[in-house]
Amino acid sequence: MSAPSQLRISGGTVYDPANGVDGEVRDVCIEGERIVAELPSNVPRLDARGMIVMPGGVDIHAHIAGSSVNQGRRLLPEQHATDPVPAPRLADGATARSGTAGTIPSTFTTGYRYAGLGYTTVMEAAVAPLAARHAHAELDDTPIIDAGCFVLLGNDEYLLRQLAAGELARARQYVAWLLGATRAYAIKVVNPGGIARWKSGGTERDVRGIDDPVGSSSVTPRKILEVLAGVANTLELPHPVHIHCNNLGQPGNVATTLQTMQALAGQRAHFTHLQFHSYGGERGKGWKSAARDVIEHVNAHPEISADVGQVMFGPATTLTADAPVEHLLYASTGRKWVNVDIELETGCGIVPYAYRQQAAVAALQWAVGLELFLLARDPWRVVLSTDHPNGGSFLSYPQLIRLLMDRTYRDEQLKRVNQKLLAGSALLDGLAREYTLSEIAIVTRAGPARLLGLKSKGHLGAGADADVTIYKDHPDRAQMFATPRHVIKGGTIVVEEGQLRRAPPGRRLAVRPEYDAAVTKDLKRFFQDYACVSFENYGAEPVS
Amino acid sequence: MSDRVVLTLATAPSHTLVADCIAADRFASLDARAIGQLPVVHGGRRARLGDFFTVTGQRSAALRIEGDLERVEGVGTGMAGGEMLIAGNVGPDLGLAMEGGRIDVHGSVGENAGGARPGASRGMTGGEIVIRGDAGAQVGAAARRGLIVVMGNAGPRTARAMIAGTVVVFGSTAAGAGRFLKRGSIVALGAIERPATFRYACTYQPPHVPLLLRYLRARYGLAVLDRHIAGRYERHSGDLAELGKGEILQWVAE
Repeated sequence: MSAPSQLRISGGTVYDPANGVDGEVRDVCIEGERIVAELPSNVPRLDARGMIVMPGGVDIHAHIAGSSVNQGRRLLPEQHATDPVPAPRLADGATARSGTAGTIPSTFTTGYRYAGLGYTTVMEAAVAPLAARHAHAELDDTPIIDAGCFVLLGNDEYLLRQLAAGELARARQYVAWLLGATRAYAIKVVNPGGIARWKSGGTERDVRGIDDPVGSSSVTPRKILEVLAGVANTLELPHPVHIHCNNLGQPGNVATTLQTMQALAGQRAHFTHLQFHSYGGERGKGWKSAARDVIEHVNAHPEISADVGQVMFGPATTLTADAPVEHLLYASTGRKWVNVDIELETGCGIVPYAYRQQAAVAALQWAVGLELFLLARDPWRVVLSTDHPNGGSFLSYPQLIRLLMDRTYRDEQLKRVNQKLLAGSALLDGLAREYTLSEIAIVTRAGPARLLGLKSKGHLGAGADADVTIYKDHPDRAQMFATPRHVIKGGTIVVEEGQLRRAPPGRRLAVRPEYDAAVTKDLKRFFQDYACVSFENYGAEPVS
Repeated sequence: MSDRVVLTLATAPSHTLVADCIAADRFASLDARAIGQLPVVHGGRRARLGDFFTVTGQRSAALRIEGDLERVEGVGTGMAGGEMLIAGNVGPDLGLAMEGGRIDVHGSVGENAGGARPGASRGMTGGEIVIRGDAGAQVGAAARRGLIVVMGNAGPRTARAMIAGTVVVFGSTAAGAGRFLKRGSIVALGAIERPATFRYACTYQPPHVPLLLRYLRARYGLAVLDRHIAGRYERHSGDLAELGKGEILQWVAE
């Protein structure tokens, strides 16, 4: 066996907030796939003098693989025609793939572009269990980045039946089994109970509050959330339950969001794309920002965390398991759309969209996201996302970072947007805060890694994965973060002098909790009676 | 810099030739060699524009194309300015998703002229296309703005799902014209098969039609008859299964 490769990144200004390093000039040493404390002075060097060194980026919530993402690609052939991506030229003539970009890039392009942006870990935030094998197959074709899947459980028929029957122990065993069977990393809840109602086809097509009954009077969004949050915490999963609340994107949904947070008081829970859940006003009567109320609650409760789900102006594709919301969006835009019931498990809706500065609601959404960022007291718990591709592409992160770091730029942008609904927004009061580089390192790397329980990600201490991004310092932070000079993934230099040069496969992040095998006996009967696949063919175990 | 760029078809394509690189404004900044190097797809295989066309002139937004282009698709795709003259017939997807400029075809065109890319909700968003021969199916489909003039006959589904914009047909217009039309106008100087979802509104002299026809006569030298300029038009509103703010203006003899 050859000696592991060694590299010293020398003279860079290092931002490693997890280890309390805030802009110190120091070396970072890599041996094999890991960061090490020290290396002999004669090992190969990467000169990073005058550059900024951070851990590789960690995206806590994006949609990059699986059946819904792929359906989105199929819906958007015009974006493929207008945004083809030639294969990159890799070192040593290694095989590279061409692809397409647009709002939902093809698999290989997704990997290349995330790495090109300095991100080395990405979480696919919504995988239907039935489509888990598809999601893993796509992630196998998404190079460079390490990835994990969140499995959808908030509207799962088997789970809801157990709750209705009071079989809580069996429900917990089922969740533990399903996480392993689908090779998932965390539990995702989307509009708990709402999708089940949408699919049931009655006159009530969604839930309105967390105490609405879903089928049985003993099953409510509150109950679903309590059980799933409890399972995640009892199993000591690295990431707590990942919650997309009820009433996404609707005026006045702040009440539901706060009730949901209160329902889980004292428990660890992650609230995703919080921006879409922080609106005041009233249905049919108008919108306003309620970001202050939401972020004050988050600030005061250290057990909960959030990602923002910022809206960025430009094209996007809304894509979610929250099928009733997508129906509303289709009805209000008249754009092409897809809506699919995923059998016993969940739903899916897709509507291509564009957020325009001149549009009142889009401007409000943009402002609410920025308010959440700027009023958040603990960057470790309120991290960066655009809910790619829902609020905007991950390629817009550098622009978002500039909005956070540069008040002059932000105020200029604020003047350009539609002001109609911005009354009461904290942004108009002139939020002076500017994120520091260290805070950016927290919300894009150290924070998400900590919230995900990824101990070897998001920092540069000895033993960490050698995922490192090196930026050329530039006063325009958007430009700086869009074009890292070097990116190292697992010890391999993937981006060299700004060019993508290597594309090693990424690893999969998954959990495999213990469960009581008795649950599978009951499940087999359930599958025989209701499912389209046999129990034996279900899940996403690798096929040997 | 020359007065204009001339593309002459030297090697007839043996298969469909997708030449969506040809656009007058694009050539304004390219020398002859660079124009010849532009990518095309011939029968699904990559090739260069210069493999089929000889290029004379360079760096001009005035373009003339000569030769039988019936197998050439996508000419003028996304064109945003400049002037293009096509001296004969041309294939499908002429001026696809065009944004501006003028295309003057001294011949007939294939289907979907001024239309949308597959899957896109919008076709051309600006500019003018004058077709002195016949147009194939779906001319002006999903157009958002802009003007298309067909001197000959227009094929089925003319201006299908047009969002706004104007299509003028001097000859006859086949079935399905204006289906899913939101706004926008179809001016039919010859016979037209109207869908059932259009409703007769009135017969009048729309002031903008004479203006438009005089413009076409002056700008392109088209043989516009005085009786079309002075004539009366039936206005049919539609598509009532859609927004219903569009119109078919059908010329009726005085």
